[in-house]
Amino acid sequence: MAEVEIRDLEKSYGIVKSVDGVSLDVADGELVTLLGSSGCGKTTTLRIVAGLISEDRGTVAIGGKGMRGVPPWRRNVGVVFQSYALFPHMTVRDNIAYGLRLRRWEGGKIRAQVEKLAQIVEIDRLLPRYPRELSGGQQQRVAVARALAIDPDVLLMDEPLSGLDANLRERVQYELRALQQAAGTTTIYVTHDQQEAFALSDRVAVMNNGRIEHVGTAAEVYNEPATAFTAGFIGSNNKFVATVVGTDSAGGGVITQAGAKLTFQSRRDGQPKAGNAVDVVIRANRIKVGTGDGPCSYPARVVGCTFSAAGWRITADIDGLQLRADLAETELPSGGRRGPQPGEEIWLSIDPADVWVFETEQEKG
Amino acid sequence: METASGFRRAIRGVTLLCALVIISPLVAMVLFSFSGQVEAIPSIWTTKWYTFNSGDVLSSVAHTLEISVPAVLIALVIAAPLSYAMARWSFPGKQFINQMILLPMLVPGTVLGLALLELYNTGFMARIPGLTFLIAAHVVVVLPVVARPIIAALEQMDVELETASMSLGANPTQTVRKVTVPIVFPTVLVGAIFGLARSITDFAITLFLVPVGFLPMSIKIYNSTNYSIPQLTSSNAVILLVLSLIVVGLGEVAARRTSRG
Repeated sequence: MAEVEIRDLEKSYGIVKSVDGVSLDVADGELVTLLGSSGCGKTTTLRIVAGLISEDRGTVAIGGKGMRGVPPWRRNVGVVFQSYALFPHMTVRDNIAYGLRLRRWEGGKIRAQVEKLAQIVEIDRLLPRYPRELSGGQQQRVAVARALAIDPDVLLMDEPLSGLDANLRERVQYELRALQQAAGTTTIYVTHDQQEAFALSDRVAVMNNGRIEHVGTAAEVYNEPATAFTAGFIGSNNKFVATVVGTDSAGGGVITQAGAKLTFQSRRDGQPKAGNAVDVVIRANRIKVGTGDGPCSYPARVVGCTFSAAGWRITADIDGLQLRADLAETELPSGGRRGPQPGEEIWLSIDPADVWVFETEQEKG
Repeated sequence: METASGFRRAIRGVTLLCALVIISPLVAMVLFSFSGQVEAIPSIWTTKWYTFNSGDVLSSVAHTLEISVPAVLIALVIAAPLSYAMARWSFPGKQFINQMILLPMLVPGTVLGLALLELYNTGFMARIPGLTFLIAAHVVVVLPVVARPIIAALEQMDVELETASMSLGANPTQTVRKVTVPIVFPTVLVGAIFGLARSITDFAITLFLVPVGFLPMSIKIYNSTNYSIPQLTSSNAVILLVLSLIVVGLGEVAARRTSRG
């Protein structure tokens, strides 16, 4: 068990900068998830920590020891790969015991450790089988057992659940988290699935273009995103560019897009200036049905409406600006039996605190 | 559909005909070797053409193996690191080497044999024992047969397995020993068997380079068409045929079991 310190990591492939200045601290026993879509650099970062890829610049320290020049077989990390990578020519037992035999553990201890891990991940019946005889879920468990058997300082998991079907995935997420907490192993987890990241992690690091946009707990990342990308990436959102038309002393103001004017409470990352272009993010589930009164009620015309398990998803037009809103059944005057019809006029209420305004990428330059 | 099945029947007929064209001379030869007379249905059946010069034949088979077995083993030793480099790494000149590996399979045997003979006759090469040079020539033609399936198997193998092995604490040498080799071994075996078949049946190159007094089966058969009677020639030929069928048969069986597993 050890803490991990990543500082200013950089890695390029030709002209593509895969990892562009990543710094992250993972506390002993913590599970941090690198969350992002394909190509954001999360897997490359993980492999650099494992020692499987060498960094161009930057440092990785595990348990306070610098890992520069240390090959993967000397790092004492446990890696669970997306494809599981179980050795096909070895039984499940031999797969799990592989790392232990390399470390020259004594025979009896190996046996005990293998059986302990097999029990924990519930595959003890499967020890004499070969990987090709197992289902995807069983193979995944073997992969986890194999990585944990060596008592690694850090557990590194690269989208280990992406091969499982949705039902199994939820159950395994829960079990994995319980397992990780019981073992107390420092873990770095990589996924593109937001729900998975939120279910498993102590903290989430949202990545984009080789950089970490925001690190925080699931609640922090969801409710107080630090950057436009994070805000737009997590959850179901409306994203658009707008212009600030008026500001008030409290740091809030009004933004306008296509004829609509919306009030916002404050720019999330600094002082808004009238005339500036800004990125605006509004969560679809923060838009509510309003009444005509109040400064934050906007008249809107329903353009489209679809049913979803959570309620009604409507697209509404406010003076030319089209927004998606996820409305709960209870909000609707008709009691939710019938969704708002296209062409219907309704009032949408958007709390200024829910209108998230960010400096645009161009401004940041 | 009538025309389709008619067409299919026609194709089957042609295939059967072609197979007969290939097999019937061999069958005739086998029958001839047991009867000594050219007739469709043998009237006599004897094994005397086999026992006649059995000592000669056995020593000839021994010569064949003396050339082919070392050739295959040496080819394997060269092919192992070569295949690993070709399958796993990229380096300048890789495409060139890829073509070079293929080359001995494309150059006609007589051309290769003649070229090697000329090489041998230059001053310093002649100091190498003839048998060694012949084995080396066999290595050249066996190498592509052995290396290409190994390269394919290594490329097909999930590289992540080697990565996983290293992440668990195995250095590259241990990884190759414990993971790569066991996985690729069946293909190596198949390649070796087919390499052996290639070497046993080689004629043109062997003819040019065979040292005096050395008489592998393919050469013995050729010689006996000039110096011996047809019955003996065909009995020797049948022995070589059976030998190569056994080797190739083993190779096919091994290949099938590899692709199933």
